[in-house]
Amino acid sequence: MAETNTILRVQGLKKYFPIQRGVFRRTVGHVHAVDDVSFELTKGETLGIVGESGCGKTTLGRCIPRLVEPTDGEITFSGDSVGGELRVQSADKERIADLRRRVQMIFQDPMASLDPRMTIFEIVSEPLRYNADLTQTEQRDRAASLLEKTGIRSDYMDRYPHQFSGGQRQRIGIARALILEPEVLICDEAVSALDVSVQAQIIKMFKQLQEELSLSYLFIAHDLSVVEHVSHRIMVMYLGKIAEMAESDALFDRPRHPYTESLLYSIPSADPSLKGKKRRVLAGDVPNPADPPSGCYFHTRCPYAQEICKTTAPPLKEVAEGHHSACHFADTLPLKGYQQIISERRSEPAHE
Amino acid sequence: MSDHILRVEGLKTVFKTFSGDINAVDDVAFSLARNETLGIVGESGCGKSVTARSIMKLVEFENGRIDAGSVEYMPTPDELIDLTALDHKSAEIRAIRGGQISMIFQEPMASFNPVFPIGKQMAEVLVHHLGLSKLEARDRAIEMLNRVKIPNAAQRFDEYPHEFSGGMRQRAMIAMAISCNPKLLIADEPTTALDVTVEAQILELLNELEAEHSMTTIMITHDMAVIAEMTDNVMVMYAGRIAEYSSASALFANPLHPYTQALLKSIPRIGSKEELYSIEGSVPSLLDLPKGCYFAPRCPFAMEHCHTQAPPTFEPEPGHRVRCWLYGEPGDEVRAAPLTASEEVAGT
Repeated sequence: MAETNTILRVQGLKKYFPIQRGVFRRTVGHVHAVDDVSFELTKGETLGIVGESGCGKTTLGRCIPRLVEPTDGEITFSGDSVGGELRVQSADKERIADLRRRVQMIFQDPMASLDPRMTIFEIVSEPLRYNADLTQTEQRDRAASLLEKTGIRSDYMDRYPHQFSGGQRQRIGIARALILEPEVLICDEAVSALDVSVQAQIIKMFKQLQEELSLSYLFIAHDLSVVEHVSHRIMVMYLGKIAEMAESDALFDRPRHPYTESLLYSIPSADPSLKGKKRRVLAGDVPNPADPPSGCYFHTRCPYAQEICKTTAPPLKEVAEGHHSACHFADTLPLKGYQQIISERRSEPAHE
Repeated sequence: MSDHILRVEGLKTVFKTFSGDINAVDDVAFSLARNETLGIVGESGCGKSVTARSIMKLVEFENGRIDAGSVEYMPTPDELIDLTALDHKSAEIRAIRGGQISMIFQEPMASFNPVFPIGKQMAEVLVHHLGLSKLEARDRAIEMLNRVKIPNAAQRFDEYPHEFSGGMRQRAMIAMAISCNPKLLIADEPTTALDVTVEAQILELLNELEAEHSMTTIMITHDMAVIAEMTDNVMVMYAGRIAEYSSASALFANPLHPYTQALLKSIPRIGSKEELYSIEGSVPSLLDLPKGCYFAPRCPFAMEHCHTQAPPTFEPEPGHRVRCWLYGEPGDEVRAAPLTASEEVAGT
């Protein structure tokens, strides 16, 4: 894609959390929550971020609007409204405020992210009070139009969050995120807590809003079927690093990292012909991020690990156009795509 | 006579709330053959967990009561116990609960007591139900931890719940649930809180254990994929009632109830570029249920009488039951006889 379409560029982003022990809170080590992550996001694009809990996907999302102060790295923002680039690392207060207007977050639990003592109008219009000079009536009009857009009747505006269902609360959270007309939305497990039928409604709405407002999404989730459905590109994270990043179809058809393949093996499929069929599972747990393994972080669980993997960390390199993998054997391993895995599983014996 | 372990008829469970009584489970009937895996699927508030907790007589601890119906439990073909008739604190039910019928919960952190070592809690169950000595119980617990593939089981025995990872806690929970060789295992959303890789490990483990111990299992989940991969028969619940009941293969190949059809179309499938189908509206509040069919306000096929008359259960195909007016006229309904899908759709 053309350079001018890039809305967000992240380079070498790192976030190390100190581990403190003892009476004097001495720093005894660091958890590398996000470790040298670089990527770009184009206008109107959805980048999915997947990985197991503790892989750093949430921290990565929070570093971008600087809800978490990154340890190192550069976040560059460019867009129509500012004209010119905004380097987040060096940004002063005013520019951070501007950045937070243009990047909004949507969280997993819509009950915890809405203040129970505020009305829906107050919740949705709160950002306007600090960022725009509008009269009360103008604020109400703006809030009403956004609520209607996200499927909440505007005459419910003076109700409280507890009077709404989970799906409706998530819509309210989205209306609040949209009121300042942001360019990037960071959706952190935004549909994970919702029931299937409601989840489908919200996913559809995300897509419609993207078309209408040419929004870019960072879509953080652990459910691979959902991520596959909404994302143009997908980043797979493992212990704070990017394991693989590719176009959504390419990642599922021909993964280039053994971790991605293991994830594909794990996805349960709504296909009763797989009932009771044996499957290959990824053994063990994610290693302790405060004490990651040597070499490639994945070598302790990797079914294809060689000697070199224990000693040398593989760099993230481009193995095909737009397809990045951090594996020494990305070019040679015959990793299976999702459809292949499903047909292989169909022919497996059942448990007896 | 077929070999059933459980027969539930006309089960109705009511909870007292500040805003009035709610029917969390209403007119639920099914039966469970030995070695069968039954899936109960539905969205939050549909009554799938309450059904299980009613069987276990746990609802009485939570301001609930079983208002009508029976739960007949047959530990052997010649024995029959009506669980609804037992007091929820009686010695009889305590001998069954956790021993013969045991349960795996969604959040293993909440099911273990954080101030006691995991092993001690496992051993307690064995001492209570099997009458083992403390030492025997310890050995048996370690054996079970080994069985669910917890590394260094003997050492892990003395560790506390917080020292286990989420996946390991769920394994320990399973080890505890199967340690007394239960005749019936109820798994309530056993993988919902877990990562996809750990979920796969746990599903694989449950499959192995079922095959090994020839266990009868009720699997409660909201995830159609888990249903497809794990169960023989499925019960789809909506707002406290059974919407559809059939073998898993028939349910996926030929869903009858409009709700099931919509549910299956609204799950994202990998590789499909099709737009997701979304059911408009949301699940009705149990305090304010619609008059006729509970799904009618969201149903694309709703007819006039759907809004006024609750549909009975019809059986348009043998073993495939559906509570929907599209499949019959008044008078065609099946009587409240217990369901026997596992006999009629045997071979699944």
